[in-house]
Amino acid sequence: MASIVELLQLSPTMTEGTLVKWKVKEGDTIKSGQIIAEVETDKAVMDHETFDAGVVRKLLVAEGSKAAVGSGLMIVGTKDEDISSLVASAGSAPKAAPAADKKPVATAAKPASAPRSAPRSVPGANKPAPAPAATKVASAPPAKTPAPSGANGHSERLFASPLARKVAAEAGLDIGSVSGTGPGGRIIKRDVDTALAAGPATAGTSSFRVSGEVQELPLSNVRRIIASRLVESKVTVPHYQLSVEIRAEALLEAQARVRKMYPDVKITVTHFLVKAMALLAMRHPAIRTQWADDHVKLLPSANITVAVATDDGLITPVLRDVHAKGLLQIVAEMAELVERARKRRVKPEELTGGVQTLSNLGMFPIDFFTAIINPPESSILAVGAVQEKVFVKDGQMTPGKSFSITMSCDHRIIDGAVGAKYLADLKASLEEPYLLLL
Amino acid sequence: MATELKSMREALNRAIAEEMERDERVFLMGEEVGVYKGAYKVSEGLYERFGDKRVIDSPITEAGFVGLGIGAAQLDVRPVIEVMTFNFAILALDQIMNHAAKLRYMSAGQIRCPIVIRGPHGAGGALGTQHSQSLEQQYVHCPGLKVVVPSTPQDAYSLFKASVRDQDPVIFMESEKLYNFKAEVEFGEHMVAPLGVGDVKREGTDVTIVTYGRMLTHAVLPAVEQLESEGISVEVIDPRTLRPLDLDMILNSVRKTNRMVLVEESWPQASVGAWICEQVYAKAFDHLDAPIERVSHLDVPMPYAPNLEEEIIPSPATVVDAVKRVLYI
Repeated sequence: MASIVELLQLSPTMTEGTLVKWKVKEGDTIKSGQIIAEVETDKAVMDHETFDAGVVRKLLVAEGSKAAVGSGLMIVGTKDEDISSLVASAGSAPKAAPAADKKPVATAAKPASAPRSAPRSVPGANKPAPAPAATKVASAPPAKTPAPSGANGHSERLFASPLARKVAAEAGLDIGSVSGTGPGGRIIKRDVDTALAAGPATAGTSSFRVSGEVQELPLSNVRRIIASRLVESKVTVPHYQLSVEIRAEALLEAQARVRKMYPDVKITVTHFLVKAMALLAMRHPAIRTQWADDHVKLLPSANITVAVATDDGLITPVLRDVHAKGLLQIVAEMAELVERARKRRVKPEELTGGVQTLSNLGMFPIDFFTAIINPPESSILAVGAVQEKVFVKDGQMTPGKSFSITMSCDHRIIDGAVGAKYLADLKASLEEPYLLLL
Repeated sequence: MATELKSMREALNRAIAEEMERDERVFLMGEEVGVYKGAYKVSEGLYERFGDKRVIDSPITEAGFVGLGIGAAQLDVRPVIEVMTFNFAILALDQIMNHAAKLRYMSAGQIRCPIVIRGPHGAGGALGTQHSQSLEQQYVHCPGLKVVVPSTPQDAYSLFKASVRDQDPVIFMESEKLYNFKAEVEFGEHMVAPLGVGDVKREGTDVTIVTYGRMLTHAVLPAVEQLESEGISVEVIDPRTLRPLDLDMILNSVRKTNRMVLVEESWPQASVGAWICEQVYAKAFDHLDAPIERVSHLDVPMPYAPNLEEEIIPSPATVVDAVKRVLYI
């Protein structure tokens, strides 16, 4: 009996996914537990298993396309049975997002007597979805719903014909910016031609207008998630900010010394900050809190969230138990985690459970900035660039180096004095790191 | 420059006669070629004109008379061996592949084998499974042989004369269904065409169709008519010689049109067309806007029923479909 394999809910907040890449093709025999596709969820690109076994009869979703959780991904059955009724039912609207622990349900096939026609020629290529025939090839291509281009779904693979790549490269056009209308979202020559034709055109009669067209850039999953979570944070959490200036000399000296002793370890001030945050979070329980409407959760372990900028947008992986780890281990783990985050290869559980987030823009000339709290955490630290300044002490001017830390706090849990005490402790510890040992 | 409307049979007949006239070392041998005037009447009149020492009826033993021809070719004679169809030449494969193809190599160039083995192959119209096979793939695969597949009476005339004059074994593969096909032919010494050079049967800009043999007239040209009426400009390349192949002509065309459809009267698996496509992928990869479409037989033995035979070989409709696929329409 053939059945429709449905898109599983791969994370608790997932409502839809993008089918990045099929790992099986029509005609393959598969076993229960086999990975059939890579699916991009709201969190990461994940392997999708199936519990069905049999022959893959039909793939229902093209690579690069979105599908709702619970909608049909593919039809599995025996090699020969008639699947026409299943194909028809799969074409109807996908079901709404189900509860978290739903498993795919096998749909009974209704036997029909539709004859299968033998193929008339040996296909040399993927067949595109049926489209209205053009009467003249020279005119604009017929309207076909374009599948989302490979570039939009994820940052790794891009499907474009060799010719399209060549034409784009010769024109200096980034092929990743072109939307593909070929099978599976393949970018083909006419797509590149369209993109080039739509590019910034020189003005016609009105010589002072720089003409161009407004483009509608589709949202990646990451962008959607950032948008909804940060709006939620700003609207529900009463933010306030506390700001301190940290003298950097001690940290910079410590960094230099560690680098000398361990030349292969790329330690930076950020690693010291992360460690300090973790130790102080253990010392200041108010920092390890989460608002839960009718109670406050107190977290046992200092997991520190690190904000990482990727090509698709900001993601926030979590380093675990940082208070218990040495700096060298922190350097290694963070490098590995950030690398995987950039490739969108973190597991969902690595994106949750943080106590406090570090957002560092010190690699840019940012003096000071305020960050938005990463729910359900209760505070976030925003770090600016190290700057040389003149400091006044006892009436004397001395040059030195410092950077800003601005802490945004959830006033429902962390009152001003509490936050200030924490920040004072942090400042002291960063300026005299041995205090962290106490 | 005068052309005459001739059938392929007539063009071949004249080509054989002219070569036999020009060079007394040329002789024709095969089943029924003499007294019976040829199983398909290709050699009609030759026996009367040249006598039984130059037009020789052989017994029904392909390995025997092909082998005899190969032996003769080594003694500065110019045999033209007719096989009634290439389905039967399978019996002579040992002679052809192990001897004709290898003599020059194994003798370090001292022994040449200037033989032409000619005859029809492919679907002939309800001839049955064992008599309808397209077998060019067997010969194209083998170094030491040359393989010619003419699609028009002109090509048959021009290339046959060149094949006889070639110093190496040439497998000259005709089609029963083309013997009656008539087209304009220009005769004469100046019309001898070199082996290994293809022909642009039709110029175009949107897509390249590569085809050879009967499929040019049976499937491709009718398809082209329909496509042109829809505004699609098709370039048709006929390699004419399959080994050695005029790959450059094909590549230049693909670089121009960026799309290719290959139409062959052949089973699909490991066919000559499959190899040609591989070469185009390897050498014109950056010029392809779509994967190459290949229109072949269905992968089944040929049925006896004529309506099924038509279903199985490429048709104008299947060629039109393939062209539209590479154009994404």
